[in-house]
This record gives sequence, structure tokens and C-alpha cells, in this order.
Amino acid sequence: MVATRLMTIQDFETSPLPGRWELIDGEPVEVTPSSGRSSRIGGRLYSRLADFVEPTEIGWAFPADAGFILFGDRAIVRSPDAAFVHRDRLPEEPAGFVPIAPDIAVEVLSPSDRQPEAIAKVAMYLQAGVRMVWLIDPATRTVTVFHPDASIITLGESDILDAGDVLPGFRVPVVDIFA
Amino acid sequence: MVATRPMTIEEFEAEAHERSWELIDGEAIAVTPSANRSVWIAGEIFARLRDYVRANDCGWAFTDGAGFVLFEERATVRSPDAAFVRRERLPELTDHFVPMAPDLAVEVLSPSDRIPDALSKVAMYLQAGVQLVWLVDPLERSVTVFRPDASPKTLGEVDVLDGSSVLPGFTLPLAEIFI
Repeated sequence: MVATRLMTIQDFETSPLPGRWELIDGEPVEVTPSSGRSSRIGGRLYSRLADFVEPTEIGWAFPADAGFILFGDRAIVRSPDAAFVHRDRLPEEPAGFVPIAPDIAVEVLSPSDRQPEAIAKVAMYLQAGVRMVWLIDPATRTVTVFHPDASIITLGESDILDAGDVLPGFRVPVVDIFA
Repeated sequence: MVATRPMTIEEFEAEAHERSWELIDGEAIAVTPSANRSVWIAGEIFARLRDYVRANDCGWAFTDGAGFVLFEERATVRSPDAAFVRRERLPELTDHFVPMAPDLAVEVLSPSDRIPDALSKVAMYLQAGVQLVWLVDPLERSVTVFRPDASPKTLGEVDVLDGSSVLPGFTLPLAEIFI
């Protein structure tokens, strides 16, 4: 569902719409609730990220409903299914929307998601400066890893998802994601 | 380079161009010349597509100069590095841009290409109805296959690229293009 009126980020933040929405070039776009399976997978990734980052205070893990202001000059607020932001880039917990793009964005496909829009969202994250995107497909039990400056890699259940230098030491066997 | 005034598809087609351009939402964007390795790979893929199309008498293979009208209403004309259109959709060649999205679009990365922009182009192809996109990365020696109804899948140089339902029976061992 698309609302008819263009909004600024400030309008969007201060006059909440009923339900879950993202803001794309000033246009509020309603977010369809996820499938149970996709939601649990997103939650599992968030828990792993939170468990990993909170003891070391290396940064912040966010679950599915956090809004991120992806671009300084475009009215775009989007919500990955899980995300990580390095503390160097975000010293304080934000009281409002997260004012920057995350370092890691996780998208979990739901049966209702369309592939073209998912790829467009990944491209937008990378254009906004996200350093690593994990696109998780519960149907094929694969994780596709995107970086702004390296090749795309598809991981299967025998592989290990590794955050590399974006979050050193964070590793999850892909099989655990789909457990 | 960006032209200053939005153009219609007709104006874009009628005007003589000194070099390659694409039209994106009415904005003419110059296409940077590709690295010779990338051009060679695109040519090799075109040659395989042409051989397949001739043998099966099933449509048209195009090199990187062809302009495809992806979205009439958005004044968007883009040129994949190689493409295939089924004959049912394009019974005859004309003296204009191809008035539709191709069935297969091939993009070969050059060192100057940015992954975020390449993915954004892939998303646009899928949104325009392209059934199969091959994103070829000569440096990483990989091909990522995108479809509108399946998650991306990355193949390496030991793998064989197939034409799925778009080009039934088409195969290309990737070692033959990553020489």
C-alpha cells in the first residue's frame, strides 16, 4: 500500500502511521508482515548479532523494526530484518531513527516478497554505504552475500556465513540459520 | 556525464550520439567504455547466444549496442552487454530501439563498474520483466544468475552456466570465458 502524500523524514518520524512503514523518496510504503519462518530467521540473526556485539561493545545490533536514514539528501528510511552498526560510526544509542546506514543489513525473503524488489533493496543498501548485505532465502536455504566492492557469493547449508572485516570473528554456520 | 534536460525516447533515438548513452528516467547517461577483457567476454557470450539462436531458430541475440525500452512511461532505454529476445515477442527486426525488455540480459563488469550500480541495473531489468540476468565478474571469475522468481545464485569457473527455461538446452562451461 502506498500513501498519496510525500513526507519528509521528520514528518515520518513524528506522525507515525498505523502499522509498519518504510519511507522511499518521500513516499511511505507499507511493509507486509513477514511469514512466521522468515520472522524467526530474522530474529535468530538478530540474537546472534546481539549476543556477539553486546559483551564487547563493538557496536549495536538492531531487530527488524529499526528505521535507518539511508541517505543524507533523500527522504529514505528503511528497516532491514536485522542490522549491525559499528560503535565508531554511532557512539550513542539513537533516540530517534538511526541516522546512518548500517554496516551490516540482513534481509530475509518471505513468500510474498518479489525478487526484483529485494534486489533493488540490496542495491539501495549498498549505494547508501552498507558494507555487507545478507539476503536469506528460506525456500532455497541459501544466503547470498553482497559487498559494495567484491563479488557476490551464494552460500549453502554446508557453508559458514562470516562477517569478515566488517565484524571480525562473527561466524554462523548456514545450517544453523535454517535450523 | 549527465545531460541537462529530460528527453523523450523519440528525441533520444533521433539524436546522433558520438558515443554510447543510456536513457534513465529521461536522463541521458554516458556509458563508460569497458575493459578489453570485459568486452571480449561479452562478445564470446554473444557468439554462443547467436549460435544457439541460429540452431534453434528461436529469436534474436544482440550485442552491447542495442537499446531496449525497459519502461515506456519512465523513458528508460538501457543496453545490456549482450541480450536475447524470443521470436514470439519480437517477430521481426526494426530500425528502432527494441521496444521491450529482453528475455535475457547479460552484464559484464569492468573494473570501473561499481557493484551497487550494477545491482541496481539488475533490479531494473527484473522489474522490467527480464526473465534471466547473468552478471559476469571477470575479476572474481564468477557469474551470478538472477531470476524474477528465484534467489540469486553465483557460479564459479568450474561450473556450467545453463539457459534455464529461457534458453532450454543452452550450456556454457564458464572456464571457456574466464581464460
